[in-house]
Parts: sequence; C-alpha cells; structure tokens
Amino acid sequence: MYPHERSLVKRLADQPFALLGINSDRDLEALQATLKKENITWRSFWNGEKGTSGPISTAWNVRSWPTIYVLDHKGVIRYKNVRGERMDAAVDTLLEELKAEAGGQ
Amino acid sequence: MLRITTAILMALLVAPLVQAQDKAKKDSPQAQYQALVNEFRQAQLDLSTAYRAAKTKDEQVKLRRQMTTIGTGYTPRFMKLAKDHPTSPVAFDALSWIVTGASRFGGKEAGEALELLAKNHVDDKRLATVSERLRLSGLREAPGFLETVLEKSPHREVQAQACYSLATQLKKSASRTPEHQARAEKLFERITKEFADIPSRGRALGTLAKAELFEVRNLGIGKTAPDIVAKDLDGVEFKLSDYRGKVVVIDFWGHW
Repeated sequence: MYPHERSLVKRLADQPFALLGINSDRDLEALQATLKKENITWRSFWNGEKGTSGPISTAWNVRSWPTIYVLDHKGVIRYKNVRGERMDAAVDTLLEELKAEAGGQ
Repeated sequence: MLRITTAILMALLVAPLVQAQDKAKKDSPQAQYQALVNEFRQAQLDLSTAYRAAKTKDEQVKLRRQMTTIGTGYTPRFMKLAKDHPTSPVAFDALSWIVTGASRFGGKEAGEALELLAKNHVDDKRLATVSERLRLSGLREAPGFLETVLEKSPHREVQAQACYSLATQLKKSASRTPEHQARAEKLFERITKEFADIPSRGRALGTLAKAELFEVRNLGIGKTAPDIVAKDLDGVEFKLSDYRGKVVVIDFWGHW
C-alpha cells in the first residue's frame, strides 16, 4: 500500500491534489517511527485512542481497513474503495475535470 | 456360578440387539451429517498441517489454493444428504452448511440450497443465523433468498436479520444500481423502527442501522463529504474542508 501511495503523492506533487489519511493506530509514538521508516509524508487525522472504534471511522461507518474515498475539488464524493491503478485513474479523471472547468471560466 | 452363567447368557442375547441399535444410530441422518462435518474438518486440519510443513513457495501456493476450494468437494455430499432426508432436521443443517460454510468456497450447490431452505424451511427459527451470515455473502442468489425470508418468516428475529442483510447486500450494489440505494435506505429505516432491539454479534441492529443510514444518506457517490475536524498526528487541528479546491483521496489506514 505505502509504495503505491508514495508514488502517487510524488507524481502529483505540483498538482491540486492531496492524499489525506485517517489513521487508526492507538500508539502514536510507535506510529511516528513507522512514518519515518516508511517515508509517509502525507498528512493524517488521528482517529484517537480508541483505534478502529474512534470517532471519525465510527461517524463514517468504516468497517474495513483500508477504506478509500475520492473527492473532487468541490468536496463531492466521486469514487469509493478504488485501489492501485483504479485509484490513479480516478484521481487523474478528477484533475482533468478540474482543469477543464478552470479553463472554461 | 449360576449367576455368572446367567450374566454371560444375557450378554450373549443382548449383544446383537445393541449392535443393531448402534448400526441404526450410525446410519441415522444425524450421524451421517456429523461424520461429514468431521471429515471436512479433518481434511482442513490436514491441509493446514501440510501447509506449515511445506518447504517451497510453490508448494505453499498450491496448498493455499486447495484450502480455499476444499469445500466444493463436500457440497454435493451435503446436498445429497439434505435431499435423501428432506423432512429430517438434518436437511436444514446440511443446507445451511452449504450456504454459510461452503459459499466461501464457491460451491455450485449454494443457489439450490437457498432455494430449498426457502421452500421447505421458511418457518424455521434458525434462519435467523443463516440470514445473519449471508450479510456479506457474494452469492448471486442471496438477495432474492433474503427477500423471501423477510416476507414469509413468521419469526420477528428472522425477519430482522433478513431485513438487515438484504439492506447490506443492496447497499453493496448501490453505486452500480441506483434504485438499490433507495431500497437499502428504506430497509435500514425499517430496522430502526421495527427491529431496533434485536441483537447481532453483541450490538443492537438499531444502532448498526443508524450508522448505515448515515452512510447511505451522506456518504454515497455524488454527496458532498461531511467535514472532518480533528488533530493530525502531531496534535495540530485541521479540517477536511481546508482542502476544498483540490482533488482529495481519503485513506482510512492503520499500521498493524
């Protein structure tokens, strides 16, 4: 998972794109070491001390990990649970859409 | 002496009778069912022992494939047992083994087993467990079966589980089939009204259904994502809406 996300973030570094995590680890200290080791540079919300039963994943009714949502630039949910190449394609489509809209104005 | 002779004589007389009873017991549908279940479990155990002992990766891959398909060899035998004794309680056990155990293995008989359960056992209270286990089943026939059970079962617990599982199944296909979205929403609503108190795996169906309703109504494709306001991993608060104007991938993750 991490290598794919790393390359996506790297490829789109100068694009209007962000990868945001919702992290459900309980132990923040151990996690800091993981961030360094795995070179995880993107920002994450912390789901709190209750781990997978934390407030964000509960509100979003997340029952399995990882769960993916892809939002367009207006904050509208456009894709769910796309992984790997399908995630890349979804993001590329939405970036195209954003560019077309900006160009049209 | 006389007493001993009598005892021996009695034993000789009784022995064939006991043997016959034993044989009848062994051939009873219940015993056959149990023997099949035991045989299956043993085969599973043997495979996992072999897997742990496997030395090469190829061998492991092969054994893992066998583990996921092992059930398909057993489904025809469970089906035969169910058909040989259609009115015995064992028929129900054998059919539910096929749909909730072997469905994971892709047994061909699963569709037929669901059909028979709906046809011959729709009054059975144990359909509550079967319906609960079909919640995430990939069986093509599962939604139709749950629909029938919800409509025809006389038991409230069974109706509740069928209703919840059907709603979950429809939610799964909602992004492909928009009318499933509306139907799932109606069924989850029905649970909060009629079946909220029924427990499922330690939680009330009403609580689960409320969370599902939130997801169906606010987290579907085409809905504006609800905002998230929380701290990041360094303790700094930020908002999902800070990223408006950008394409955003939200990834619920954990390192475990």
